[in-house]
Amino acid sequence: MASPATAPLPPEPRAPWGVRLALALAIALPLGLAAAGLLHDGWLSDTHGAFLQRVRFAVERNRLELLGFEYPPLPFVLLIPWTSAWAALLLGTAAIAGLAWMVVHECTDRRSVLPLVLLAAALWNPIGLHLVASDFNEALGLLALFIGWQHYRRWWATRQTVHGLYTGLWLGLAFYTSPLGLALALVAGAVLPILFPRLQIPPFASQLVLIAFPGLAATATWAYLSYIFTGAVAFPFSPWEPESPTFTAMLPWALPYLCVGLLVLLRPKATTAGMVLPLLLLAAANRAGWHFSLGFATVLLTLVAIVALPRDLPALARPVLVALALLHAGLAWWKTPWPALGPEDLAARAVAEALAPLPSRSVLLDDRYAERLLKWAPSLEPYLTTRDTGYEIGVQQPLDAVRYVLAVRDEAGYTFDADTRPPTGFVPEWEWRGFALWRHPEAPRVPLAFDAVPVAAFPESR
Amino acid sequence: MNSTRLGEVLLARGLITAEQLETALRQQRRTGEKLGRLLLILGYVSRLQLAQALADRWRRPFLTIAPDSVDVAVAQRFPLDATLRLRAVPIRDTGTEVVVASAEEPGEELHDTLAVVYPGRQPDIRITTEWDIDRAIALTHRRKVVDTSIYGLYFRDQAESAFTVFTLPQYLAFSVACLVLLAGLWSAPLQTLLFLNVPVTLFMLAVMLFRTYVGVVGAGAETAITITPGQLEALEARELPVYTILVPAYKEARVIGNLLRSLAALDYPADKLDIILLFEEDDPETLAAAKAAAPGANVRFMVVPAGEPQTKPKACNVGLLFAQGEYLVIYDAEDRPEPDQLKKALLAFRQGPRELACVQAALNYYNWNENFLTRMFTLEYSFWFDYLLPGLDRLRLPIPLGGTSNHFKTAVLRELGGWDPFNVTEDADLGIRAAMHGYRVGIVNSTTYEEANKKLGNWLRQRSRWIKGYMQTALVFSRDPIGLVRRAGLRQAIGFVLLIGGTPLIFLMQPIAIGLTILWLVTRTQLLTPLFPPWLLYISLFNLLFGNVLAIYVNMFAVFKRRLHVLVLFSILNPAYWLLHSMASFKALGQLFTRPYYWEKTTHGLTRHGAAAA
Repeated sequence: MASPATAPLPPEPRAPWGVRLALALAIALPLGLAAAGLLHDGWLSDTHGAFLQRVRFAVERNRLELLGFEYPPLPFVLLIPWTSAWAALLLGTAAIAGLAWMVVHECTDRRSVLPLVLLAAALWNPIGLHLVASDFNEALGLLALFIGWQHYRRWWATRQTVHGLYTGLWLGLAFYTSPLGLALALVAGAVLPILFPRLQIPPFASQLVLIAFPGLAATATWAYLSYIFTGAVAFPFSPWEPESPTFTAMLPWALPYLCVGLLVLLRPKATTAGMVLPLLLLAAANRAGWHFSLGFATVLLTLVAIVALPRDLPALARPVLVALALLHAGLAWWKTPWPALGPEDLAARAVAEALAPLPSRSVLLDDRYAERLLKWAPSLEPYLTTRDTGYEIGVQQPLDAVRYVLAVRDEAGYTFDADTRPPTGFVPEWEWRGFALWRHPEAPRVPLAFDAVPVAAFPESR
Repeated sequence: MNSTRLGEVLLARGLITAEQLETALRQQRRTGEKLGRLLLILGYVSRLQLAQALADRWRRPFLTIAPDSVDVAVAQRFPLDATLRLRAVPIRDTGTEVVVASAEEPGEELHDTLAVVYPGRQPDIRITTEWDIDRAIALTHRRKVVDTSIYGLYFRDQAESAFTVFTLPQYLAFSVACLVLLAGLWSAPLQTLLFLNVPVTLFMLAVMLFRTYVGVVGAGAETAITITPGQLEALEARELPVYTILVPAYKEARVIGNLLRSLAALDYPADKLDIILLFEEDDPETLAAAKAAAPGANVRFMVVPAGEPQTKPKACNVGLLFAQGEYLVIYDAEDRPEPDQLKKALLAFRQGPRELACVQAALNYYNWNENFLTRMFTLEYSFWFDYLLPGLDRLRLPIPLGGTSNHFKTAVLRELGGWDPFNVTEDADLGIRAAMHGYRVGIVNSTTYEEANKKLGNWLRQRSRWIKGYMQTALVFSRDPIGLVRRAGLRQAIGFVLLIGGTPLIFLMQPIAIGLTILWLVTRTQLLTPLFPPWLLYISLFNLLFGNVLAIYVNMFAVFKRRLHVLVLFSILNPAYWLLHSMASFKALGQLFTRPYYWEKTTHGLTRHGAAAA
């Protein structure tokens, strides 16, 4: 048995924290301000809207266990204290600032601003903006993964166990934002023999356990929570996600990464293989159906490129990398549209605002088809949804249970089959851009601005 | 010059050779120790020969103290502290003269004190051996030694002693709480249980977060500068002070020989070690085993006078009375300290702030791989001593000392009142008391290896004693909560409550929490729903899931840090081990009311590892 390691290490070079903070904010604030401008103009991403409506529902119903249905859980938990799109924006900006803070450390370590330039180029464009304006959870995930990875590097460089501890904890936390946390933990543990060719089996096995345990435990605890609240292991549940970018779609946005990869290959080491791992992980995640955005993939690969940058860059490499980074940013501005509200969102917002003043649980709604509407609802209080007790009674005996019935149209038609079988005893109020409202005869009218039309096309209620 | 004369006396008597004198003088130049003591430690002269030679040199008669030659009444007039300090015992009063036996060269202070205590008497000072002086003190001041070792702290400050288990206000508060609880259970059982559940759950959450945070902070302690090999090499033997080692040994005949071998292996000049083995009167076997091991001349045997409570702290207090070192450390009989520990502790004292009163070395187990219990015990100790205590140290929070390997500044230890013999975790109590008095406890990067309990019954006895001691300590320092905050500071007081109060409470609550979880999982009963409103349910789940996971994980790293790779996976079994703690906690709670001072003796020497080593 050995006494714990005690040898002190020389202190690492660090920029003054004021400088680090200023640079981190300088990177993150433009994104935050751009996202704030969008929000101010009335734009809200589907993902943030979905987070917010779920948290609102759980908080307003005082049933936080409903979050047990959702994966990833971290964004929901973070939005509980302040359920607002501004909170999501601030959290995303803070996560990006955290990333930049760590990249500034890389700059100090390498005595070069190149890492910061690469990061800025990856972030300051509509693709990077996604991490703050559209999906702050991905920004949090990137931060947790990057911190975990940095501690992992320090662990195998210094052998100080505290970095191993942080590696596991951060990767475990990352799992609550993305399954990639667990995947990265398993891969990081599995490649230890590459980093330490003379590693014997007991220390290898124990280190693999140490890295992977928090991720596995996070998976198990989340699965258990889902199970006890739902009776099923709901995993992962993310209905609002668009498709992830394919492997080939990612590559054009990974120019600095590819260039650094080539540089590294000039003098390959055992650790060189590690550079390919994130790319493989993203490809595998795509095939496994685990969602990530192009912004997430681009910034992740850029971070890999930053860490893998050779310390003795060839003279030509620096301007080439800067040029590629600028090209990357330029292409992103050129090819990626700036976020803007579509007509569907405008309609949903108008309906949500119109219904907002209605009494508690007075509107019967099948929320499974009303993501867009609920995204704009300032409160879910007026709605009686599938997650509420009493919903079934509401469907069967709407006259006794609710004052209004709101049907939402999709490819299969209106919910509740309302277009063919209107709710018994209800009066048609209006039908407009995929929404139709019926009113209890004794309930007050619900005025709707814009160009709503009477539901003349629908059969009369019985 | 004086030393040379002592050497000449011994040479002239033919007791030593010129080569032996030269060796001792060389050693003296290196360590600066007295020549007489060096000759004794080197084994060139006996105590008797040395005392006789010193008597010649100081031109005093030599005296052997026979028990019946001492007039106890005369001796008792001389204050105990002066007796101990001056190493002199008045043994007879002839009316005109007072005959005094001394082991030191009589100085002005001795003459002055004798003149005050025995006015009108001419002092007749004679020289005797150190051992005779110790025996004479034990004989003449037996009652005083017993009283001081048992009631010293109590008489100094009753509020800091566990002699009173519950004070009157505590009894009243406890009684009122019980009555209110019973009334509540009678009239509104569900609401009452909910009312109980809320603070308990929140407290468990706070304890869990606190321990995890402190553990993680402690994990980073390895990056702090500690004592390095270079610093150890730079230590000059001459600069080293006398170090007292106290070894309370009761029913330890099987292991005492091993301990003496470990102490002999310490990297510290033998002539600067003052080793005191403390035996109980009803345990002649251990004394005989120690004698049979033929320890060096720096080892003193001391039989602790009988008297209740017969506890380790009482024995330590006796040892403290006789300690001559500037620094002092406690070892248990089965301990194997790393050889450089004393030097590291000394350097830690020198590097630390003035208020550093104690330095705790890490404890771990040499028989860690013997069975399930020893593996889990090793996991626990690795976390406690390598993560938790360094974390407390970094956060400047009160540190409960571990059972052995606590190094003290002797003067400060005396100032603090020594150990509380009524507290069965006197070490933890002393660490907290030091913090209350504005002193600090530090951690040093050295390890003492002990024998882990391999038998469940033995383990339960030991653990229930520890937990009972934590309960005693919590009761002692919660008597005056405002005073606690005022003296120690709010942060320290919170740390104390969460660690010392939280540890037993967590173990007492754990089986209830697990039982309710299993009940719900198996039956899906709705009976528990009123006790767990949603927000409380989430906190309970967080405690159950994340609390266990985090504790297991930090524990994994603690053993990994010690390169005990096999134990990493064993950490997952911790929840089962913690249930054993719960059993011990309920036993401790019962004993707190029925036998608060009862010292559950841990049997040592059961390990095969130890037998092999012996």
